[in-house]
Amino acid sequence: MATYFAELKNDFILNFIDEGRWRWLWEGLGNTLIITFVALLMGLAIGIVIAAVRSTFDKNRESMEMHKGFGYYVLKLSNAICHLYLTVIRGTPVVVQLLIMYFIVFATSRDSLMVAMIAFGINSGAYVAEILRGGIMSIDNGQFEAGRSLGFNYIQTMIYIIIPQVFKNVLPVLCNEFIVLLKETSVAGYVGIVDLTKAGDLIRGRTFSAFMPLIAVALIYLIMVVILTALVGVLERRLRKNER
Amino acid sequence: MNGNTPYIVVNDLQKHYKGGAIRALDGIDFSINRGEVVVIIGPSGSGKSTFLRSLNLLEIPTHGDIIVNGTNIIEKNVNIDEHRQKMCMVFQHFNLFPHMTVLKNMTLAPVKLLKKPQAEVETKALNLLKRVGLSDRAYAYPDQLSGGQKQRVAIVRALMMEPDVMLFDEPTSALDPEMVGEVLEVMKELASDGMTMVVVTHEMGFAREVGSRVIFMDDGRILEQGSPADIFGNPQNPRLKDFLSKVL
Amino acid sequence: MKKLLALFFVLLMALSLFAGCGGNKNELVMATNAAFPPYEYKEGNKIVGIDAEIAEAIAKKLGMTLVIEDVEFGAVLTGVAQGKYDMGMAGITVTEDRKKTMDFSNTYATGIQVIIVKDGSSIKSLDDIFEFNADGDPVGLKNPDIKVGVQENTTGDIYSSDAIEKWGFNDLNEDGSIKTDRVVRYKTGAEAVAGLGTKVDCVIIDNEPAKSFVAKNQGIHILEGENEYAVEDYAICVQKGNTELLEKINKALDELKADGTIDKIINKYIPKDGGAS
Repeated sequence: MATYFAELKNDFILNFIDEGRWRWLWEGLGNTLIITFVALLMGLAIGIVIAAVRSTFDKNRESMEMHKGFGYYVLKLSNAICHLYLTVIRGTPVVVQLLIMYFIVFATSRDSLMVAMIAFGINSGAYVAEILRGGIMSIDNGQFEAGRSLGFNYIQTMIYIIIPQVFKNVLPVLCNEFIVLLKETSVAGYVGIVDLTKAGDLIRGRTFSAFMPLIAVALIYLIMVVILTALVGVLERRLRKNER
Repeated sequence: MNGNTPYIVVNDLQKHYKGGAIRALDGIDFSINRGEVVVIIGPSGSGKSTFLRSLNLLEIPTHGDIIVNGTNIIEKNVNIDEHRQKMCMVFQHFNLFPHMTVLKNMTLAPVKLLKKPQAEVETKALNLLKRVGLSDRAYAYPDQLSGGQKQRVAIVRALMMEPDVMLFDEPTSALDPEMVGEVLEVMKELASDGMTMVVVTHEMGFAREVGSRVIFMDDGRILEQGSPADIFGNPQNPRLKDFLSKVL
Repeated sequence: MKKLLALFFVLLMALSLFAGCGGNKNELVMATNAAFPPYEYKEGNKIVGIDAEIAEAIAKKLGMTLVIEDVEFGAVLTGVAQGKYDMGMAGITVTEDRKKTMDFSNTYATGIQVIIVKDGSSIKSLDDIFEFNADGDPVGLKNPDIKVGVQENTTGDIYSSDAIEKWGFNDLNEDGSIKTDRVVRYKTGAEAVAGLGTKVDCVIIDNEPAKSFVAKNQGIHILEGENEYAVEDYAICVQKGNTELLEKINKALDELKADGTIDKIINKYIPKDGGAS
């Protein structure tokens, strides 16, 4: 057992200390975090817009069909576009989307990091949109009717009455999406980005030992996820307290 | 508007589903004057709730006119939100906003829509809560209230908008029996204050005592209407007789 | 939570103790990365190429059955070092670093790292990439925005990831460590070549696959003449300390060299007239 730990120590030094290899992990972690963070913000922005269009269409379809105006056709078209976006994004693997973004859509861009942020942002947007729409649809229609019957218009009802309830309901799911996103960025290495996973691979390719780099990478992801989950728990408890 | 014109006039109101195969409302003609309390009764599925909800367009009618205070609210250029501020609704399931205190539930609409100062609105809300015996619950959340308390809050929430007419959609149906009385008491008080009310209910006692007119609906049509004395004492339509024999 | 984590890692360590205790029948398991023509590539489902055929000949000599595992290049090296595979044959260059963690056979072929650029590129020779001092050593880059594409973990990656003074592409940080941002590391050489001109300015890769890529893609070429980036030896690697297998392999290799089998195989894939196949 003693020799085993001595070996472990040598392995550690070889993989992280020699030639400052820990720098790969540090750089990779930075890239993973920045991609995740920017993609999250983008995903939220896209998701909110899409969810707004889709649920507005669903909720107002009947009353707008009464008098089919210009707005009805604009909304119908937007809804169709959103639907197409959701179908395509949720129907294809994120790696394929990333490669398409990198080699086709942004063929001439050299900024892989930016391409990855956009690719993951667009991907995440689809999932966030459906989470939000699910949240809106899960609110009892009576809430909506109560708002409208007091004289609030659709948007006011959404802002004052529906959204605050949706937010609380979907927050855990949204955070889960964030955690999934964090882990999904591990395919960023496909387009030449040194993210956390790739950093481990690069160390592995130079030291030819599997254990240390892989376990280190796994640990770093795990720690981030555990921290995030704990934060979500705190946030959830605080929100619940506000209601009582 | 002079007092002789009915406040709401409904002409040939129809609501179809599945391209006309199902007719929830099948040609309703109706009117109500200011200060009247119209009680709508009928078996479930008769279309009475659909009709009530059509009056502020929570249900979109397929055909017909709804003329409120001289304006046909079916017309395209009518701002329905302004009309709804004057025709507040009380729901079977209360529909209080669970993320707000009782006070916030009541003050939200007047502050945001009527642009009244917060302090003034709050004073008014507290007065109304006092009137319905809930002054100590102003800062409670809806989850902490009993069904009867919730419905009383829902009624005063609607009153905060100072509506011209109040629509009640089976306000006591979701309540435990011992709580029905406290809600009906509030409604009676409203009626005696001269509020124009349309009430869909199964409470025949309330219909008989408070209603200025009772309407019997079935199959999406008004089959009989008249004073409570006529409807309950001398029903003509066989379906109404059948219905009354079951509920009384 | 802490206890759980600790338990998890103890289990993991225990498991890693057993790593490498695999079954060992009469099979010779070779790991390769079959995206490296003409040394190894796929024809249909079959892995063919110089390495595959030499390995087959060695297995025959040893009286063993050859099993080829196709994995990522980095996994070939790691897998052999861990004893997951008996040997690695993937156009593997012998380097001092690699010698520390695995044993290498005698050389069976020579590889040259070359630079591929797009036709019309401003890079015509190494002089267009590096600034040289009087001794002929590089001291800087002509174009600080240059990006170089490589297949990750290949010698092309390792060379170009170094500092400029060592013929890499990267500057040093203030503390003397190497910046790593000029090298774009792809999963395969083909992806690196696909990025030529748009994503990267040049690709550094072994000569023979480079020829294949140039033959199959219009508008790119290998920098000619004395622009060989690095010359290196290809060898078979085995787990460190596995001298028994290494000696057998070396013996077989010597015999195959002596009877001309190896030359025949190499000539089959790389015709002597220089035309790429």
